[in-house]
Amino acid sequence: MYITRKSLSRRTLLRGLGAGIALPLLDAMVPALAQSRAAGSPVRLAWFYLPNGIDMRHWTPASDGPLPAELPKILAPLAPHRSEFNVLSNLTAHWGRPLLVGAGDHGRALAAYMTGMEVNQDVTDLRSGVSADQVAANAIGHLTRLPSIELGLEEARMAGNCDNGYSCAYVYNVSWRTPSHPLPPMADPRLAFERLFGTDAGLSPEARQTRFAMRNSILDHVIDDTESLTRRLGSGDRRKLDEYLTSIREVEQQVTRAATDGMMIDPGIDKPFGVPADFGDYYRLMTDMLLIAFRADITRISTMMVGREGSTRAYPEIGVADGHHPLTHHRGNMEMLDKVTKINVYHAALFAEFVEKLGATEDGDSTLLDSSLIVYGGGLSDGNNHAHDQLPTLLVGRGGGAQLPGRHLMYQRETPITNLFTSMVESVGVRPEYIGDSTGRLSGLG
Amino acid sequence: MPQFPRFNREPPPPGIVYNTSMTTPDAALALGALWAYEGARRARVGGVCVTGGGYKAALFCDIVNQHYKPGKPIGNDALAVGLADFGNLPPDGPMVSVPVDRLDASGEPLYLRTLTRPADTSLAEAHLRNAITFNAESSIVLSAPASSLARSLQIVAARDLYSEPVRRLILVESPRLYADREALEYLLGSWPTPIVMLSAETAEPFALPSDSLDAAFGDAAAHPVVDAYRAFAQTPYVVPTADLLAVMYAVEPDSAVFRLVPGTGNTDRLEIRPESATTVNPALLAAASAA
Repeated sequence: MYITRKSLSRRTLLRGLGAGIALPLLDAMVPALAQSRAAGSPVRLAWFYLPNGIDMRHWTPASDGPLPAELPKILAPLAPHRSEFNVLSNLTAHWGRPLLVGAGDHGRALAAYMTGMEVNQDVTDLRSGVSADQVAANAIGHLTRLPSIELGLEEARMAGNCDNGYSCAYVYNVSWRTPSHPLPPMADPRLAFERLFGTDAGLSPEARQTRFAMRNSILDHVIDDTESLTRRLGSGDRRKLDEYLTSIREVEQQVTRAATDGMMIDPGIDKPFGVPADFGDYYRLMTDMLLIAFRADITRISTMMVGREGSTRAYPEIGVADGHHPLTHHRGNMEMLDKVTKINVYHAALFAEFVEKLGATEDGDSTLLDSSLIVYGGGLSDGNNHAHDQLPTLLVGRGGGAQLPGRHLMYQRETPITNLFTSMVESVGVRPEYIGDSTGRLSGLG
Repeated sequence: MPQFPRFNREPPPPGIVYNTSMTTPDAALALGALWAYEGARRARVGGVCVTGGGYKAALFCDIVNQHYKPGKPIGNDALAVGLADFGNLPPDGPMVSVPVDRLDASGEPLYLRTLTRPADTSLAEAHLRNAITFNAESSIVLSAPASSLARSLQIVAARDLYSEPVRRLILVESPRLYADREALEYLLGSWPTPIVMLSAETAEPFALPSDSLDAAFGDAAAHPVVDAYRAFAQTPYVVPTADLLAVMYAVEPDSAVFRLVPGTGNTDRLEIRPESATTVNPALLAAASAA
């Protein structure tokens, strides 16, 4: 390949006979990116949602300012990366609170977390808000093949009463495309793989080409026939036929894009089958796919539900046979509380592996970690009391310069967590007036 | 209207949300009276927010809260004390500094407190919005610059959320109220429920001699409200009561003592019925000094 001083597109393909292979980010692509964004690489946003609250005794550093060498127990697995994240204290998700409604904290905690809106207590009449990830996806989603990807480690339920009159949809979904339309997290690794990399990704190039050609020929025949018909029709019928042709063309474009995308992406991993029995393996598989998706710029926006609110998952991998949610209602029982801490530490250790990989993945002149902003936290602090304030919140990465990490930032209490999300969405070039109940941007991040 | 109907729980007594500068002794008396009303189950302290005061003004609110209801954060299990202009606070006067800094025999702070650092206070506009939405029914007493309350009204959906539970907004007229005229004009033009103005002229005749407060509080050796009004000026002096009067009206709007007179725009003026004037000062003393 001969490269002139002219910039090479980030989407350049090596083309053969009807096939194309994506290129990694090359130096020759950087000038083009630099023109579109000063820092070079696009900013990726992700939210890792932790269910059921956290043992905050072992989360919050004792003082604000630079993070100490020795982090609280739950954050200790992240200690090697302490210069790559901030601990943000005192943020609140007000609409998770019982207010005048009463029980149902888990349903509200999740549904209000990223929407910052009141949640309608109902099993069928879903109403919340638009989540922060979707605010970003609505604005920049057209720049990538997938506007966003929603992943999770528990299969989502959309119907039924899961928490004191709150629909299961509230308990299982953190991402909301509209106030009544949640985006269920994909928990099946195979489905996630196919959504990210295309259904053809596991096929040989020849098989992909055959499938693509067959789809194309069918559509070509349809279009040829209708165009010949057009010449014999009157104006009214022509208009009707034109509308019909337009819809055909849209289908054609969808098929073409899907087929092309399938050829573009080589994820470098085998298509998974089933859910790994070991939670750690499951976590790694899903986060590996997310990493590839970010690296290949398939999407820049993601949510990852480590568990649904009220999750009763047991963790035999670390010797915790009890369900997570029952343990969090420990009523001060130290044995139960210690198990909660153990789960929290385990989650943090798995997340630290993901952070490690992000930091080791080149992205232009820097790393994927440098160009990402990832929230690691949840909508409950003390799970025993269902506290919706002083939420556990880490902001990981530099966001292309949006964040100066390595600190414990202590905000005034009641500061809406949507202020953080508003700042994050701004880092991808969107300037929302507000997200949910935000009162402004979160100061002091940069 | 709230976005969605609320149910499941019998409404508690009306919540009073108090937005104060906490720079004059009537504010200290008013806060003490609010807690006394809560003790009598005639009202709830729905939230306290300091706008135009310093960190020690917020800390003073905290020690008054703890004095009346030790161990319980104000209003609910979550809300602390709101504090506006976190990064640019005005200096505190002796009225709040003296009780906040008062030490016991062992050199420890005399009065219990939950705030240990400025970050323990709450973001003012969020605090006000959150406090108001905690209450099935509430009134708001504003005796401070209008900036925090105006900002809270600008949070998405707040105007609708306020329209049902808030019975009335009571403005206490003073230079403080006019410190942010733009915010006040916004508030007057956008507030979704009735507004009542208590003018300085109406409140002035009901100021209390400090001696009468001393007598009413008796021999309280350690009371942050007493420390506050005694530290405000050299006693004896005449202690203003505007905020106290506004709180009393917020709790008992149907009392025969009060009447409303149409004012400008959507704002009514609060007046004291002449035939009830002699009962006001004893009532104020009783409210301020009730345990």
